[in-house]
Amino acid sequence: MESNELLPGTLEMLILKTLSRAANHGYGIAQHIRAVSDDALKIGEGSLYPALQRILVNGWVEAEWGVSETNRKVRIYKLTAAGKKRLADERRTFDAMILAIGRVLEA
Amino acid sequence: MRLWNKVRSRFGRAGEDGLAEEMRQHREMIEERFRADGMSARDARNRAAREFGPLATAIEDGRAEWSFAWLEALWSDTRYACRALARDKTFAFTAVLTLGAGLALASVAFTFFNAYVLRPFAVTGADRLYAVEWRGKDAYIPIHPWWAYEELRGRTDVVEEALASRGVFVGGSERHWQGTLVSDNYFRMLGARTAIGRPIARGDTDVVVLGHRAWQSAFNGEADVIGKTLVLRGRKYEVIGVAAPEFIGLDESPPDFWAPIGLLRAFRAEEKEIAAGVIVRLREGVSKARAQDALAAMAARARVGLRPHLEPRATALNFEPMVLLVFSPVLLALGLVLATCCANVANMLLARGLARQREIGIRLSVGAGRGRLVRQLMTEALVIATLAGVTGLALAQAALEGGQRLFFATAPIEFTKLVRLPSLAPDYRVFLFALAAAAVAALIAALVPALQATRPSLTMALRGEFGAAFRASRMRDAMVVLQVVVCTVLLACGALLYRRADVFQTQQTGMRERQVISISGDRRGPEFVQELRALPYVEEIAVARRPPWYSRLPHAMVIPAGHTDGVAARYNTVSAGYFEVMAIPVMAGRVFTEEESRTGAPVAVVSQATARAFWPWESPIGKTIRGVESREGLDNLPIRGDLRVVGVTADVRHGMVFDRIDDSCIYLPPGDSQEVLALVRGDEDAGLQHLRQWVVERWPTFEGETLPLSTVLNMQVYGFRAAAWLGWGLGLLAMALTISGMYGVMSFLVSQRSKEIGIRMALGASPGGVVGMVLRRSVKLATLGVAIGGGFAAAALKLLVVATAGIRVVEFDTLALALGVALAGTAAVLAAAGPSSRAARVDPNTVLRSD
Repeated sequence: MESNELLPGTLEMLILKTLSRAANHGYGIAQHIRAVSDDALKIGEGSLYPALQRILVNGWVEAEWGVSETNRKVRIYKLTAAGKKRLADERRTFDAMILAIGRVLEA
Repeated sequence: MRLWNKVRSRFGRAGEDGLAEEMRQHREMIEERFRADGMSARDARNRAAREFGPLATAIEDGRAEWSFAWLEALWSDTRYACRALARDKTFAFTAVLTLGAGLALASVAFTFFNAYVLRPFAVTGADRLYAVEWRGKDAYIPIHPWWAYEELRGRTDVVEEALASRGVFVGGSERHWQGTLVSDNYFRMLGARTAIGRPIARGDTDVVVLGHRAWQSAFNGEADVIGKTLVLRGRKYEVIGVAAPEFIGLDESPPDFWAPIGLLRAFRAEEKEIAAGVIVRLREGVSKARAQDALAAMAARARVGLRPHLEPRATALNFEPMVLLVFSPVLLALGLVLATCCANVANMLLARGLARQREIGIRLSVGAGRGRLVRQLMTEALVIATLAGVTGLALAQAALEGGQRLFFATAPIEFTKLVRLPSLAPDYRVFLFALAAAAVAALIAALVPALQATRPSLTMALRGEFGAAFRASRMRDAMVVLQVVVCTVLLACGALLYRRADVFQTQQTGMRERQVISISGDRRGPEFVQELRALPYVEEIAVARRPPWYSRLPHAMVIPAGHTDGVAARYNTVSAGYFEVMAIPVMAGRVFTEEESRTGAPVAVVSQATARAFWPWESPIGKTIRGVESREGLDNLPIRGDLRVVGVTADVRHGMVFDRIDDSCIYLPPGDSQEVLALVRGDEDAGLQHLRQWVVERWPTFEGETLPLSTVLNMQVYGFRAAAWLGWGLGLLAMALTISGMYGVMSFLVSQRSKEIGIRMALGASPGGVVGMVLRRSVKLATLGVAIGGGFAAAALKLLVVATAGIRVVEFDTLALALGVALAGTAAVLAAAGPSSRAARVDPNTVLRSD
């Protein structure tokens, strides 16, 4: 599934959520989302990196060059306090939205 | 936060750098995974590339998050605009020069405004400086006794510090010296620096600090001036310093020197005690109103009914609505010329937009947004405006420089010796103004063309044609008409002023206009007058209350014999010699005797006009005139009781150059306070030099002006001359703009319709017919412009007449109006001659084969 098939705005939330478990690099983030969603959500790199840059600009994550498990030079992203707050906010909004949509569909 | 992160990323600490590297690693990790799944290295690479998608786009998108998109767009637009302008140098040059000329005018006007009204004096806390005055009904006291200064200085509740100063004037034979006498805290309080030497301090006595300009002009800016001696009024002063160039005192005209105020009596012998103007710097946070309230008791002590008034001294002139009103005609004329420049450039941009129709069409068709294109065209205009702003500033500086030279070369020389101009060098305010004016001009000139040019339908634009909605030709016509209108108005006003100045130049006053030198000021006791009369180069002297041409004669209320009601009549008090000095012919009776003149006998001489008005059918000799208590605003005659008329003189003009002969004039024998007039033998200039020499040597403490009456008279005309030159100059500039505007429109018309013209000629149209077609269009535009312009010009002339009705400076001038209309119309039509002859040379063979 491409990111534009995701609900708008959810990609950032997924990235933040992934990073809230542990700091990770871009490939790791994509792999994590793919694995946890049982291959249902495949994040295209064409959207992953712009989203990461956006998040970085907003100061929700910090990036540092490091070395991956496979000994590659990668940039490791780590959630900041602002990022945690952002994630909580987005989560709340998202839950409310899903609930509302559910109600409409159930009615 | 966002902004800071973006800015930080610019310096490479975080963000986009390494993005490509990061993505490459990512891709390789995917590749690795595929290899781990058992794929061949080549398949894995291909598969990874497919899954990852185009790397370059991803990098671009990622980077875009970091960049200042608009800034980069602006940068690329600017580069693009510069390239486009460089390609079409003729266009760029003409546009920049046209707009630059308009901006130069605006900058010149603003430079003066800035120098007098906006720029604060370069002193400490200029915005808290106030001159202390006491004001009341019919009272205005700007000069205070010394104890009042000291009291003001001690008012620490509202006043931070106070200085005392007094202006003095020292007439010399070579040059005059305008000085300011100051209290010893003056330089320290104002934080005024000296360029060389030291400022005046406590304990200084016979010393002066020179103004920077005076140092340049009188001492050639030599550094060894310190310690030299300056002789003023026969007293020697040591030069201890030269003020820094930016410090020009606290008055509208920069003084030549500063000296301690203790020297006041050396300059003004008649002053028994030191009195001076007081300028205070209010404490921080103290409002003007509060300070005025605090000083109320002090003002009332000076005289009952007086109130304190604090006059701001932050700038040379205070900004008042009156100032703006007085200069509104000049501002209006400048605004009109600037508008013409904008219209011209707008026209060029419209033409350029048309010429680039195909380019714009192609870019629209490959997906360029209209907003983006408009922005690009506007950027181009901004680049032009920036260049024009720089050009305008340079032109303005040249014009100011040249203008000052012209003024000093053409104005009466004795007058130029009295003029002290503040610095007219541009400062940051002038730069900002030029920049802002350029930006506004660019907006005005470019917005409509940009919107128009990007509007066409795609298919037509690609063929180099325009949609039906495209009304560029109408816009262009409107601009040309506007130019003709402005040109007509300015030329008519210029012609009017010019003709008035010409009339004034040749107008006779009925009196001797050369060889009479007026000596005004103090110290004209009997001794002074006697010695003056005995000088070998002085033929005759006279005294008068009002020397001619300085101002109008005042009115007084009188009752002529045989009348019952009072009549307002002009009067002057003059000595017996006045009629000879001024060469006023005596028509009947006699003038005063020396005896009558000395004793102030109750006799009068009247002008012919006065005699006619008072006693139309009788001889005026022997009749009486009685001065009566005047209504408000009129003088009382200095001699009470009946005055016997002993003579009648020819009518002359005592007043301003735009006045006619005096409608009435009663001459009385002199009372006190008289100005001296000396008729010199031979050459006026030589006589003036002799007289000044005599005054400086014999009466060193004399304070006053020695000025030839011819200078006074010339100055009156000079104002009109200058105004006329200005009017003509602006009119000619407008005419040049009109010609270039009309030329541009018509050339464009011809090249635009060359195919049509070619077909017409191929079908048998004569060259004459083609020329006629182009000329008809230009005549139509010119006629429309001249018609509207003529209307506006008539209104403008009428307005000038009404505005100056009180003093009758200007009269309505049909010839000037006709001249303006004719000049503007002819210029506009002639401008079309070139393009129309080009139309006649269109070769059907060439045109029909091209494109």
